[in-house]
Amino acid sequence: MSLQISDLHARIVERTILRGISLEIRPGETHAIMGPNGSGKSTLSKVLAGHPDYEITQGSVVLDGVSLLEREPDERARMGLFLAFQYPCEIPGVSIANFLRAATQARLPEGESLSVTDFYQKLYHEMDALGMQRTFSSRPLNSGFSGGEKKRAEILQMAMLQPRYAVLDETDSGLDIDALKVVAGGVNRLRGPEAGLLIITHYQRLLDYISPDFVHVMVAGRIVQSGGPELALELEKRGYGFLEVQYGSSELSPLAGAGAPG
Amino acid sequence: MDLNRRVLPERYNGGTKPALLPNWWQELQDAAWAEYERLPMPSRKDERWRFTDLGKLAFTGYTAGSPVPERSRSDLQAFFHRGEAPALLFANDSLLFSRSISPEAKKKGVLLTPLLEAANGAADLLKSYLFRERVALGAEKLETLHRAYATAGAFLYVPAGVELEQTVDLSFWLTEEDAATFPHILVVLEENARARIHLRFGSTNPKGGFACSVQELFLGAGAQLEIFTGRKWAEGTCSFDLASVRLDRDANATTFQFNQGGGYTRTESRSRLLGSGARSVMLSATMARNRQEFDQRSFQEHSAPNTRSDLLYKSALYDSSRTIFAGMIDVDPGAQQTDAYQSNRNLLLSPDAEANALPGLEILANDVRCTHGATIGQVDPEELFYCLQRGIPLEAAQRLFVLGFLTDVIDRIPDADAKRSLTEEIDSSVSQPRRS
Ligand SMILES: Nc1ncnc2c1ncn2[C@@H]1O[C@H](COP(=O)(O)OP(=O)(O)OP(=O)(O)O)[C@@H](O)[C@H]1O
Ligand SMILES: [Mg+2]
Repeated sequence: MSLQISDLHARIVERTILRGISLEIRPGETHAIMGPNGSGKSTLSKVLAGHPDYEITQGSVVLDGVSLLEREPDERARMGLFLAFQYPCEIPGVSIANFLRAATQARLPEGESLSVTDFYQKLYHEMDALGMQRTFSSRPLNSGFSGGEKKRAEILQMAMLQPRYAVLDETDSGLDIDALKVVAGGVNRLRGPEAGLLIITHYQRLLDYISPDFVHVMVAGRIVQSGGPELALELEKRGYGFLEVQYGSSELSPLAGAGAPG
Repeated sequence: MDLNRRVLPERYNGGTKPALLPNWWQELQDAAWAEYERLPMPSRKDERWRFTDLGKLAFTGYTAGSPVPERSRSDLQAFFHRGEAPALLFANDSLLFSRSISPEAKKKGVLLTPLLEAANGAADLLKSYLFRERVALGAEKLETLHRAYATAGAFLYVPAGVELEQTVDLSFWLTEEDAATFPHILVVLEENARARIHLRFGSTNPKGGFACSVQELFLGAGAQLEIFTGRKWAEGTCSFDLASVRLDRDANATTFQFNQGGGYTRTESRSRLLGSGARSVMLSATMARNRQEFDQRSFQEHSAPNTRSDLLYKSALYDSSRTIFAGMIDVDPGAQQTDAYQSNRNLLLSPDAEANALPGLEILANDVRCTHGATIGQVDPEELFYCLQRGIPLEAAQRLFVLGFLTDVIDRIPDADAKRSLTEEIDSSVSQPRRS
């Protein structure tokens, strides 16, 4: 049982972005990925979720024993994969509540229909926990939301959908200190022996609240270093410069074509 | 029968009570028939038929006044008895069921009656309004055909200062593939009168039919009318719905149409703002599927100063469906301080769907505010990916987009009950399994 990424290569319009990512996330584990801008972190998250713009040229992803890459994005999601987007898009005219009802309904067995009362009870419970006003549930999803509100709405969705593996792409950016604590609380509530987390972040401050089991550094489409929580602290101090010198930028990577380190 | 050859149908086979057509009405029909024969068929050369797929228009092979089979009658009876509002229900132009307005409303002088009854009971009143208006946005030939045939319909009269609180339900049905119907809706609201109408067009048969309706709506000074039209003809039905609303000083009309089904559906809607302070809101939501075509023409006629019109037509297009919107805002030289708005928005859900938008303005006054615009868009792939990532399957995601897209027009329906029932109807309509 795990989300297992092996030697994953992906490109977009003739440009290779992921160059051999290998990573295994087991339920109960929390992994963090850090890395300079443009190193491919969001690309990894979108490739996992099945974004149609990317072409997989090599490698595999297996979720709890089932190969993921041939599946449609919605199937992957129903298999238990959740992505909190770095830039959540606006869905005009569709309220948070209706959107989440559709997503919840999609997870029920054929012919079964959602109990509206149970749904709202759960929704309001999670909204309360995330410090969101209940009236927010009737607002069109992400339309006119502030940056922080969008991130909270991502965590709300995660809480409602209870994924087995969640990828959080910079869910901490744009949050004020209080919001950061609330969001971290939401993430920590999902944590447990049943859920595996992959947290993409630039900042140690999120990791202060969500202490990861593993930290990985991505440079130029590869994971160039992995370690424990102490690695994040070191990066905070030293920056990525030393690693970039060692592993290059994606344009002139000395290791282009080589396998994944580690 | 061909609609090109005139055959006078027998009236009221199986209906409640037969009534004779008075002479003056027969003369109107004869004159209309003569005019019908003289008028040219719709043609591609006529600007007002631009983009129409004329091949979808079918005028032959229909029978006016087809008998209503027992089975359809009992289906319609069941439908009718679910309602409580004052109502008239017609099928194949026969009046099948009716429910009258409240005794209080009657006491105040409100009249809701089938046209034929009005022709006998309130002839003078009827005569001064019936067939007075011309919508004339291209379908003149059909309009005269309607006049030559129409006998089925409703006359609603609300005297000055009276507010009819109950919504009036009018429905017109086709039960046979080769049946034709010519519904006529005549509404007269005197000064400061108020009324609300729910008009429904539908079929009990699965396929085909011909319909040509006319609405003549007269609003006296300060009168207020809301009219909600739901169309859901059987697949392949050829229909024309022509509507004119006349507004005196400070009168206020909101017309809303929800369109689905049918084969070819043409709507022509004219708002005539004839008195200062008059206001007309024209709303439409369409869900086009399969090979359906919705051909919508509108005219916002500002003839008096300080008048407002506000049009919003939205269409969601699936499969190989087509829509046409051609609108015109027309501002007379004397209509200063006109405030006119016209917007047509289309959401394409299939690469084979086609939307055509022809917004238009003709402004002869100098102190006006007129805005118009049209958009034709697709679902944003990033928005779609977002929905898919939440586990929402493609079809359900499209349903959300359509609901989201139509929200702003639905939100503008003033009546809460009408809004709720429409939301439910759209919801079930977008949820219906699609034919591929
Ligand atoms: N649609 C696209 N077209 C062209 N290039 C793209 C596209 N999407 C991503 N890229 C490129 O791929 C590289 C990796 O982008 P990605 O968004 O994965 O970086 P990131 O590690 O998430 O960066 P950040 O920390 O700034 O969020 C970047 O150089 C980016 O410009
Ligand atoms: Mg990123």
